[in-house]
Parts: sequence; C-alpha cells; structure tokens
Amino acid sequence: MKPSLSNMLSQQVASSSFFDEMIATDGSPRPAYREVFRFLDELNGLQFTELQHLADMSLYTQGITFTVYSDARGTEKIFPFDLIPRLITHLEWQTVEQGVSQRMRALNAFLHDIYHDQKGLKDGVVPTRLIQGSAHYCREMTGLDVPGNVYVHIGGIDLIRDQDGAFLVLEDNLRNPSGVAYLVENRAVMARVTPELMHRYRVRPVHHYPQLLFDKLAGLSTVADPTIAVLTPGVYNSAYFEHSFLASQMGVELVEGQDLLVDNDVLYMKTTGGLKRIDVLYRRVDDDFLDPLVFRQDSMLGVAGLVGAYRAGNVVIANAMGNGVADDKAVYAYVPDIIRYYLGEEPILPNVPTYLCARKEQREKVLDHLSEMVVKPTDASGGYGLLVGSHASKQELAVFRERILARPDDYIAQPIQQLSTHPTFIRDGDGGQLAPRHVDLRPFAMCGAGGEVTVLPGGLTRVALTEGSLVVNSSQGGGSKDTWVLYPEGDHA
Amino acid sequence: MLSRTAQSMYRLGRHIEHAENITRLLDVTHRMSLESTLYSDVDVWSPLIAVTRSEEAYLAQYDSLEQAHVYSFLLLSQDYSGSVLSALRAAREEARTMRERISEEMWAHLNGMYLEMQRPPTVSQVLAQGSAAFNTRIQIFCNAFHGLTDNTMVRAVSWNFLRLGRFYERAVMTCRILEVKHHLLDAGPTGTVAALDLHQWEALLRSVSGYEAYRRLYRARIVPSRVMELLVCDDRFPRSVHYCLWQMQVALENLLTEGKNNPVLAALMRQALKLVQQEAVRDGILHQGLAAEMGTLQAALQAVADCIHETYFDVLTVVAADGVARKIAMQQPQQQQ
Repeated sequence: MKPSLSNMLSQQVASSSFFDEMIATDGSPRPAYREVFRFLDELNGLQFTELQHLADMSLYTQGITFTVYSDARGTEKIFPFDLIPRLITHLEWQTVEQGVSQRMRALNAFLHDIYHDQKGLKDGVVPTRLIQGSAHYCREMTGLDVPGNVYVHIGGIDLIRDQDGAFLVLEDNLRNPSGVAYLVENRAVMARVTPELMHRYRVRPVHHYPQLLFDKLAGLSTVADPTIAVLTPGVYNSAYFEHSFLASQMGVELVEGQDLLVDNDVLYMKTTGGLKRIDVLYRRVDDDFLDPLVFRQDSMLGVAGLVGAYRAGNVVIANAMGNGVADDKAVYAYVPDIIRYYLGEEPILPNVPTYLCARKEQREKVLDHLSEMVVKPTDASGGYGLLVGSHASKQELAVFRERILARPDDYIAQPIQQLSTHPTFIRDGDGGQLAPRHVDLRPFAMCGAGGEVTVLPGGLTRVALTEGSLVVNSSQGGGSKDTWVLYPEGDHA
Repeated sequence: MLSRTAQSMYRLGRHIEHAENITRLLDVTHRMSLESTLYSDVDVWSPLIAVTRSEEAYLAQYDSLEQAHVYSFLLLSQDYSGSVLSALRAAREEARTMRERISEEMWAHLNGMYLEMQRPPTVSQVLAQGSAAFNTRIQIFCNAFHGLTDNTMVRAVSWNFLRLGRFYERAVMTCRILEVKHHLLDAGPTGTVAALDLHQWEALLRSVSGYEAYRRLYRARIVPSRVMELLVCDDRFPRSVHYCLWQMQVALENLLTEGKNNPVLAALMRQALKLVQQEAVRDGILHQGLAAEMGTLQAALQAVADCIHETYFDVLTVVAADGVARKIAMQQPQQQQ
C-alpha cells in the first residue's frame, strides 16, 4: 500500500532544519493543524490533484491574473494558488496585529516629522544623508499638512518566521502594497473548493476589506459624501486585476490618467454626463508618474496639476506622496530606533539582522560572506535585481561584488533568512505530492484619518514553489496560499 | 459613467459584431469559390478586401489574392487590427478594463475564447476542416455573447452603449457589402437575373443571414429591388440598415437619462432614418446608382458616429444650439516653484 500523503510529509519535514508551519520537529502535526492533516489523509493524491485543478480553472476563467513584465508577449498568468491553507492561531495573530499596528504608527509619525520639523534627523535617529539622498524624498510634501497627519493609509508589512517560529519583519511596503485582492479571492476559491475543510475551523473573515477601505478613504475627506476613485496605470500593469477588483468592490470608478483633468486646482473625471469632481483619489500609480508638471514629464499615467490640487487641499491622495523615504531598504535598518523614538515603545516585531553596505566594516563583512547573504538594492522592489548568495553562480557573485563596491549606498545585505516552510502541493505530471516550501506573510494594515490602525485578520501568504528557493515574489515564480487567522475558540495552541 | 468606459462599451459591441461579419463574409466567399467553374472569370476574393477597407494592409503583406492568404489575413492575422483574431482579442481587452461593468457570464465567455485563441489554429488547419467549422464557431460565440448581454445585463447606460456599437457596426457592414456588389444591380436593375448573378445575389443574402428571410417573404425568385428592400428598408429583419438605425435610436433615447440632451445628435439620427425609407432608397439608386447611394448612407452613419463621440466620449467638446462643435480650452495650471 502507498504511504499516505501526510506520512510522507512528516518524514520530509522531520529531516529539515527549518521551522515548519504545520509539522513539529517530532513529525506530528502542530495542534492547530490537526484537522488539515486529517483532511489530507482522507484525500488520496488523485482527489487532491482534481481539487487543485478545480481551483486553478476557477482563477483562470475569472481572469484573476497578473502580467509578467519580463515576458515579451505581456502574458497574463494566474498567481499559482496552493490549496493547503496556512493557519495562524489567535495568540500568534495578536503579536502580528500589535506589531504591524505599532510599525504603521511609528512610520506615519516618522514621515510627518521628515516633512515638517525633522526632529528625528536632528536627534540622529536616522542619518540625514540617508533621507536627503533618497530618490523617494518628495520636496512637494515639505511643510504640507495632510488629513490626520496620516501618510501611510494602506501598508503591507512583509513578515517571515525564524527557526524558532518567531515573526520578524523583512520589509515595509508603504507606497503601493499589492496583493490584497488575491487574499480575498483566495478565500473565495477555498470556500468553493474545500468547504468541508473550512467547516472544521472558525476562520476570521477577510471579504470585508473593500468596505473597510471605502470607510477609511471616505473618512479622509471633509466632504459629506465624497466621490472616490481608484487610479490605475492601466490594463497592462501587473496589478491591474487588483485595481479593478478594489474599484468594483467599493463601487467607485476605476480611472486612468486620461480620464482625469485638473482645472483651477480641482480634480475632475470626464464622464458621459460631463466633468465630475473627485474628492479622494486612491492611487495605484507610483509617485514619479502622478503629475508630469512635478515629476516625470513624459508620464501619461497621471494628470497635470494633480499635485497642485493636492496642495490646495481640494483632493486627498492615498497613499501620500514621498512615502518611499520611509520604506527604503536602508531606512529599514533604523525602524526599531524609529519606533523607540517616536512612540517610546519597544518594537514588538524585530527586524532581521541587516548590514548597510554604505558602512565600511559592515560592507567588508558582506563581501567576505557574500555566498551566505541576500543582497538587495535599496531603491527597487518586486524581487528584481536581488542576489541570493547561496543560489548564485560564481559569475553572479562577482557581478554583485563589483556593483556593491561601485555604489555601496545602493545596497543592503541580510544573512540568508531561514524562512519557515509550509507543506505545499507540488505538481508532478498528472499527480503530485506534498512537500515543504518556504513561505512569508504580508498582512495589510489601514490607517484612518484619526490615526487608528486596522489590520485585516489574514494576510497574503506567498510561497516559493521551487524547491529550496527563498524568493516568494509572484514575478519570480512564487505562489500564494489562503491564510486563516483563527478565532480564539478552537485555538488549540 | 466615465467617458472612457462608455467608449469601451461601444467598441466592445463593434468588435464582436465585426468578428461575426468577417466570418460570414468568408463563409459565403468560400462557398462561391467552391463553384469556381461558374466563377472562373470572377475574382471572388478581392471584394472581401474592399468591404473591410484593408487593401493597403493586405498588399503590404501579400502580393496575390488567394484563399489561404485572405483567410490568414482576415481571420488569423496578429498584425492586422481588423482580423477576427484581433477583434476578439481587442474585445476581451476592452472588457478587461471594465469588468465591473459587464456581467460575470459575459466576462467568462470572452475570456474563455481569449484563452482558446492563445493557441489559434493555422490557416491550413482551418481550411482542412472546410473552414465552415471555425467560422461557425466564431459566429455562435458572437451570438451567444449578444444573448448573454441581453439576458444578464441591466438595461442601464453600459447596455445602451454596447448596443449602440453593435448596431452601428452592423449597419456599416451591410452598407459596404451592398456597395461592393453594386455591379450586379447596375448591370440590370429590374430585369431578369442571370444564373451567375443569381448565385451572387444568393451569396449576398447568405452573408447577412438573409436567404431564409428573403425566401419566406418573397419566395424563391430573387429580384434585386426586393433584396435591397430586405437589407436596407425592412425594419423587421435584424440585419437590415433600417433595423440597426432604429436600435441605435432606441439606445440614444435611453441614454437621455445620462443628463445630456444633444438635439443635433437626435436630428442626425432622424436624418439617417429618412434615408432608409423605401422610396428614398429607390429614388437614390435610380438617380445616383447603388454604390453612391450606399456612400450617402455611410456618410449619414458616420455623422451620427462622430456626434456620439463628441457628445459622450469627448466631454470637452460642447455642441452649441447652432450645431457647431466647439472645444473648451482648458487652462493648465502653471508649474509652481
């Protein structure tokens, strides 16, 4: 008789040195996962393949896809979805929620300070050079008072778990974090494909995210019933599905730059009934492209005069411009100090150790141990131009060594993280098998005009589908899982 | 509704209708080419290129008119924007920018075809099946789309723009088909129809699904003036110019709730409808010939389309009571330092 799926899995995980989300070191399932484990045992491999196929088709026919830039044909792909859910117990979630919330508050306070008195720079919390030299520093934001002093209305904080299962912050995304639509859609697919598994748990809902977002955005305006619009770069943007999803779920218009017009510092959209004023713009276009009068002149994605309208207080833009100065990978290293300085609190979620290549002694350490480091450029995102030392060829290592030496300020390095693993269905011909794959977690937080932070009880669990790979980005062959944050009861931990 | 979305709806309607029309034309021409002994001296393929207004694009790619080339050009070309494949892709792209405006079923239908056409058949595969299989598949797809549209969409602004596009495209195509066949009528206006011409008239009727309708209304004898009556003037036949114009008028009346009442547009619409009255058509053909008469009709349609554009898609244009369109000059704010 064939060994069961879960047995094979236990053996694989027991011989690994990573923290596994489902299986403890003795090969038995962690308490919260017992029902998932049983569910997998009840299914045989073939049934599982069928379920997985059902889920894929559901995503495909709905067109829940993203565009891969490196592919010349601009091909759309579905974000690979894995059916085995990632569970987070109530206790674990409390830490995540409080830690993410704390980080959002601290970074908002930091941004307000950077664009006003810069006390933190004067007190040496963050080196002035780092802020002034940042490509994301936005002059137009200087001295500008934004509603509620909130800059980061929507943030995505990337978390990983170390060998002991403790959550660490890998990265802050304070500009245009994406992925929340997949999170909501993943849940819908799970409910459709594996309802019997969901019934065995009490999972906190996530489908109300668009309503939460709508309330937060509406609250930013002084107008009683404000007109909200979502600004997208267009259908060829990799996150277009999400933009369209959010607009339609909120019941607001999805606009492109060509739909907009600014007259006398007021933002309008062109409609079949004439011009209509916009009060709140949830923009998913990067700073550089928002307003050709202020930023890149060749940009067709924004609208001329938008910054003027914003500065005149006639439109609220979420997220604020110039947030990149706070989620730069070099500033990241200082976030624990930022939390202590602005909030007077100890960080709840620690950073992963980070080396600044700009500093001679740290740079030398990085170069000496390059094959054990993940090197990241400080001004890019999306996993492009990243070096994972252990998986790099000699040639790639040499290239990065030269790059670091040429522009040390542009790079940071982190020891290769022991991302936790999670059993994942790996396709193999017509069938497939379960195997541990590395995962991270991106919870989404919203900050309203009153400064209150709401963290959606869930998150996007991204999984590196290639064996041993630590890069979870969708653009680099990553997939995702549904993330179940459990209610206190039924918490077995 | 956003002007861009309204225009996308309108284009979506046009793309789907266009794809269907091309496959119909190909089907009919193919059937004619099979009876090639009869038509040995008739070039069956060049009218197709004329109807689609694609001479230049075609000649840039091919130097001879033959079936395989015309098929790969009109059906499967990735480069020519008027091919069936391009129209289906364009339709799906338009839909993608306004998924929240169309029903789930419509999206799934369009997306399913898009996924299928990611690996389109080759010309030889299409022809090996006798080509009808593929063309029928597209025609059924297009009609199913119209069915889904009418059965799942709220009768609101989107629906009206979609229908506006569909019926505009259909009206134009019917005019053009008649235009290229003008030599048939000009040769013998009311007299008896020669065997060769008979086949051509029959093909023409088939290309607009009008053969059965014609037989039922007028029985088997094909009389050119009656064909004209059916395809231009009869408001009961869903592919006639009159029917299309009427549907456009209904859509425009429904759109009055959008708050814009452009009297010029309504006047242009009435004017176009006058042109498809039986007597007007008969007189027109008598005086200036079929080709010119179809030209007049198309010009009237074009005027309506331009006015739709100015009224709904380009909101910075206002039409004053005197009927002259004027662009509003918007002052861009100066850069602040």
